[in-house]
Amino acid sequence: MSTDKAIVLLILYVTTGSFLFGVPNSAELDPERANALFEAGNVAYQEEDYNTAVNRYEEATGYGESWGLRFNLANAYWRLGQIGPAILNFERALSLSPLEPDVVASLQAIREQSGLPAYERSLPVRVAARLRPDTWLVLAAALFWLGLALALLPLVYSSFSFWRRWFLAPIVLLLVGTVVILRAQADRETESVVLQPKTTLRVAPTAESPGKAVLPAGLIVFPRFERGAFLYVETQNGDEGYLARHELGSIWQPSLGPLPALAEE
Amino acid sequence: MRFAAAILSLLPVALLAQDISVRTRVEPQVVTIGQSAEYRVEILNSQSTPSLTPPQVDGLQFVNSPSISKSLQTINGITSSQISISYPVTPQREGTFTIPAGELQIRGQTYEIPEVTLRAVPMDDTLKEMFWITLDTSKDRLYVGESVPAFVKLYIRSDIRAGNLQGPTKMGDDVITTPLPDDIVRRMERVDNLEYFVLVWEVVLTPIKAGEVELSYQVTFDYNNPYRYGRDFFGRRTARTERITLNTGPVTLNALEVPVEARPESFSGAVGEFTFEANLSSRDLTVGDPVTLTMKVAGRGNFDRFGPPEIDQDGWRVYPPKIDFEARDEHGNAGVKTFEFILIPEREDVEAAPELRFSFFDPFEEDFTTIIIDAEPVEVAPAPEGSVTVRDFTAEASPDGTGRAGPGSRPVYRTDTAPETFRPIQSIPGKWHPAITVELITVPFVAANAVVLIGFASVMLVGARRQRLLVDEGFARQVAGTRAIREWWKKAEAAVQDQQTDEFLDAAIRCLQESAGRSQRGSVRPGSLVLSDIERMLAEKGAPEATIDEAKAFFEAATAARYGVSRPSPDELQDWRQRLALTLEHMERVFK
Repeated sequence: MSTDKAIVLLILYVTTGSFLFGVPNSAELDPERANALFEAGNVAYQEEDYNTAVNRYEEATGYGESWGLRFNLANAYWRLGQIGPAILNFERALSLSPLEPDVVASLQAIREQSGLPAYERSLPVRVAARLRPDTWLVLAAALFWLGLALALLPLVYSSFSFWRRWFLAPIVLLLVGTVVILRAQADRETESVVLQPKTTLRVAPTAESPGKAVLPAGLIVFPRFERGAFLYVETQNGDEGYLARHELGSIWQPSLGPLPALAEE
Repeated sequence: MRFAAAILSLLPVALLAQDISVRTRVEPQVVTIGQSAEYRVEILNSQSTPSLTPPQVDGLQFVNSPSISKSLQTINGITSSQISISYPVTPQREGTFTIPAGELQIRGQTYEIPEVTLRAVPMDDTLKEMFWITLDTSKDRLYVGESVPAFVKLYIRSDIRAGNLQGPTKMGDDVITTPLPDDIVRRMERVDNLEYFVLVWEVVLTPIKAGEVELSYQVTFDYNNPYRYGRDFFGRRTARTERITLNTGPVTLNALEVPVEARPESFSGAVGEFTFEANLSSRDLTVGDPVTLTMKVAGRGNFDRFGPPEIDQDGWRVYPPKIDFEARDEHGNAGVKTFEFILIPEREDVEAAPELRFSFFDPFEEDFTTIIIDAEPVEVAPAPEGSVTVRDFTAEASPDGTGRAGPGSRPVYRTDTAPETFRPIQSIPGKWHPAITVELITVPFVAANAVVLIGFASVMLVGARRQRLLVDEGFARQVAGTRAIREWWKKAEAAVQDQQTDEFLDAAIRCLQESAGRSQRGSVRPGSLVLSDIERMLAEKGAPEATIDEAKAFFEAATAARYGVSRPSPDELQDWRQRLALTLEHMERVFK
């Protein structure tokens, strides 16, 4: 094997293989316990005891996250008629496995049947939703190193000039695209779902504030900043106003919500 | 030059010899409200600048970031320095203000900052005539939620040059206002036979709290004061540029609570004057088929504060409406708000569309008005026979929109075009993850990047060395020579071990040739170098005489021994090896 080929193989191996091995994060996970609770939830669901199913599934989320768990939890909420939590969990299922056809179809069905407007995401966000964020990051890192290698290696290995001529520009374009997608993915991190039907979008961050719109359960909103127990949000329709934190569920950060109801409410 | 340097070097000594003193000034000592003065602390004969915070005086507003200047002067052979720390200060009300004495620390010593007085007088007629600001509201008694237009007007006499405008800034949190418009109305007005340039900002005010609420606007700008002069660079008299803050003064609004007792059930917060109309897209309906009910609220009022009218859902499935607003003025105080509901008749015995009510509070009449649109008759046909039916779970379970099943709710059947409602739940959970949120920058990720970085840097270094070997002849010779010396040295050592005198002598001579050969230019091979070449090269490189003699002696002895004169015995080879090592080490110092 020539030196050049060895270098190419080394770079490809290191920039893809080692990243893919290295990505999973280090939070605590107890798959056995999560599996047991998942199974218990499924039994309750089959017996049409949806309240118990919800409790088991919610408990299981304390020991691990999987798209199947969130999908089943969403269905249990849907069976109970709780559209907001159902949509929230379908969205969470999609965040774990962006291309699952069952989840995509269920989400579309529940939105249509609840009369909710379709959630039109921008093109970079739609592309970002095709893969998990960590996969995009691995791709961006691999493209960065490949681009850097193609840009610099010809300076010392003239045989790489051919590769640079044909592959550098496409790789740089792909890298720029990936960075745009990562940026769009970062913007998605605040995405939240209205949990209760007929939620009042307030003018001011007080419980007594007059309302400016009534939001249906399941509507996607984007918190912009906090004011005490309230969040200033922009809805997917472009309306802006205040919602209490307990009225929202964060898609990407389940630990942030819902919060306990306000005392004065 | 040396003299000047000597003088400068003596300056600190001269300054140290003088006492440090602190004094304060306010300039000007009398200002009108809104005008700024300068509070200055002057420290004489100090080399270090102390840290200072502006004093707190009720009624005076200090700017926290001071300007600091230093000066040095020599009069009659006595050199003195001055450090000035200046704070702009603006009186907030009329009165005489004493800026209190204080202390500052310089090199461990405490010095007193003397007190100083500033007087603020009402804006004199001259200034009042030059500019003022007003806030005009069309009403001073209004209801919480009622929106009224207001105008902030800044008058500047036409002969005054003003600029660097900041604001207007709203003061008061009990009233919300629309943002200041980008397009400011500019016009000329005559007041008391004087011509004024007027800037007008139109906003809409809405009180959000009942009671007497105050609101004011403040604006700050620079202007050329034609009554106060300065001198320019050429000594000509010029109008002085000053900065002024004008305030409209608090405008009190009496905000009334919308009456609670007479509030109709259909009131959802609308305050203003509105009309209400509705339209049903069809009156010939079929069970399960959607129909659009469009309601339009038009007029003037707080459109952003009220939601859609309630709809009686008996016999109807009602979906949340699509809401649009078409503004008919710049601030959205006038316009048309449209609510587009999708309704689905649930039963064929439904005979009329829901009755519609829209209530609003009319602040002029000071009473509620409810507009009622009577139930329009409709005809509902049964669902077509033969259609595949799928239960609509949401309609069944959530007749009141709360998502909970209620008494009296009936299943609704949809046509075969309806999407399948539920998919089977998953029996296998899929891959378990620790969390939904992915921690992107993890230790393994950083480590992987570090590995790539190290690998890439290594590849680049190897490549750069390889390329240098190709283009840099001297470097290539050094590398090749060092490698050759290492190889011949190994052969020499092996020959000593094997007690092979000829092989050792050949290798030793070759070591010396390769060592010297690294500085040889051209195509001469190191193996062809003779003693005179090596001597010459050592001399050219500036080698010490001892090194040249040592190399010469070893080379001659080795060459002679190679050809049979004074050949070392196998036992003597160890001594020869040590001598070779020493000679090579000394030559290495010269050639490497």
